[in-house]
Amino acid sequence: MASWHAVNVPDAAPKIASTLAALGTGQYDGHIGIIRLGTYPDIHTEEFVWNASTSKWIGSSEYQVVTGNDAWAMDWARQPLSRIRNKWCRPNGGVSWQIIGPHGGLYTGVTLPAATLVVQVQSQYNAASFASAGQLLVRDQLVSYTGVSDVTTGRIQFTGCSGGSGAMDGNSSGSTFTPVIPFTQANGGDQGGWGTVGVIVDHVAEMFTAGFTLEERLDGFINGTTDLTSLELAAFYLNMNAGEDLGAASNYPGLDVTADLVPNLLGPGVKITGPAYDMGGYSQPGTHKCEDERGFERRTSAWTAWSSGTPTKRFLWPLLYGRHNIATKSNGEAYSVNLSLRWVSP
Amino acid sequence: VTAVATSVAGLGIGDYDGQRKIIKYGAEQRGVRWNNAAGVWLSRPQPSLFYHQSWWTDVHAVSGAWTYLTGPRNATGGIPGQSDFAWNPLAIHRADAAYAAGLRMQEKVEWLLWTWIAGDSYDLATVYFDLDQGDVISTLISATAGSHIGTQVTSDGAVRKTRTTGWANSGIPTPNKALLAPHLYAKHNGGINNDVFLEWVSVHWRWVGDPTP
Repeated sequence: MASWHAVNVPDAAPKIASTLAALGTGQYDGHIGIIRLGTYPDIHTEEFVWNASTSKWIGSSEYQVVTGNDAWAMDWARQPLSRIRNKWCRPNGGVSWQIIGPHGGLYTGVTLPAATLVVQVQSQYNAASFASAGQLLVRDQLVSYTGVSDVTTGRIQFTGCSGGSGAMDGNSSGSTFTPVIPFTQANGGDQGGWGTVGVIVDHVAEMFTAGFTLEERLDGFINGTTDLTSLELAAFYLNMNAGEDLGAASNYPGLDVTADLVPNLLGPGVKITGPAYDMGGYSQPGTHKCEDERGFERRTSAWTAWSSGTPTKRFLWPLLYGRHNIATKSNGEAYSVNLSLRWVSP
Repeated sequence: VTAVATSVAGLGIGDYDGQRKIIKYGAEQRGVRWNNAAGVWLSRPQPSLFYHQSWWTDVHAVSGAWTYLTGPRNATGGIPGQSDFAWNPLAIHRADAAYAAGLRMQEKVEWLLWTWIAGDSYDLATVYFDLDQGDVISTLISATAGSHIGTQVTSDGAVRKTRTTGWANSGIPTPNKALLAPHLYAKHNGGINNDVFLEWVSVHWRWVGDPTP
């Protein structure tokens, strides 16, 4: 109960301006500051809280710009090694580990096209588990075959193979470095980053011009690796104006951002790095069979200063990328990824 | 001391620019701030639907008809039955009570679209299904009675082009049920191809309350 001398003093009215310079500093810890941009009804309001200990305005809206659910973990497995080694690359659709039915991994490395593919499979599968002729996905390459036969228990070979290109690693120890999946309508898939959704951020250039900057926070579950290398995650951002056309296909941010860095693309932003140890198998901890999906570890960045250059256009369109260590042969996955932004005064 | 009201009329006109009050409607409550220049109370924006290329959302839209997006598909076959992959709707609760209290919805849409062949034209809209507990949706194939088409954006057929609306009053009629469930629809307006491929879509909404309508 309030004593006789207590008085209720309403908080001071919020400070309202269109630039940081005009907003100035807060009058007390927790003071509200409001930036307004545009003209009603298309008026944008950004609300800040003054943090006296850091002398900063901290945005009270946390913009969750990327969320990745477990709609099958984002997968870098179905991409050529040349794309995933030490390059920022967008995740692939579908997860090879979770393919229902027979599948395996290359036992012997090959350069496609190759007449024969030797494949390690789970012990419950053999040549009879596969169609006698058909198509396979080897990473992102489509290979046709005309025959399949047993080599030994847990190992089969596809013959009469044609199609595809690029070097594919094999692993005689049984760890799957290059997934081989029967291609059907049900597991076709393609690149694109399934399982992520993005929220577009508005009035970005205006906010930077007004004197503010962004902070990023990224977290997610990243799985272990069989070759003790790690998978990094980070976002790139398309920075575009309303009605802007990306133009030629070469201006579109491709799967391999190293090769396709386009004028509108900013980044990479804050990074998180997955574990550089194997974490055991999902189904058989401590062992590495081709069917194993390895464990996942939570990695989180703190709020981190914006490092992706100064946006000069109105919108940010976030894109999630991953990068493997240069030596990797592995197939990183990530899920439950969250990337948030907030506005702050520098 | 924060004032609380159960209607926009009860909120009245703000005492000063940026004043915060609470409006209660149904079992909901939201903070609103007074915008002196516009003479309205505005709530903080919320997303109602967001989406990121999951390879792409593909609709073989019936020309001239609003059609539910059924992707993803792609040149190598896609994933049948995995529609709505990675587009996330967030329902709006008690819009009926909010409207009865005098609030109105504003929306804004940002999207980037990839049309296969330049010259096609599409509209995109958020279609809200106005539902009560236990209501049954008989079909999602086309916008049905009871659905409310929200803010629309249009493509001129250029490939990979952004389209945005900015904040504008929503086109929905007055909701009269407890929940607005957002869905993403497209309409093909003619051209050679009838596929629409969406790369990103963000739809946000907020309440606006005008005490002197």
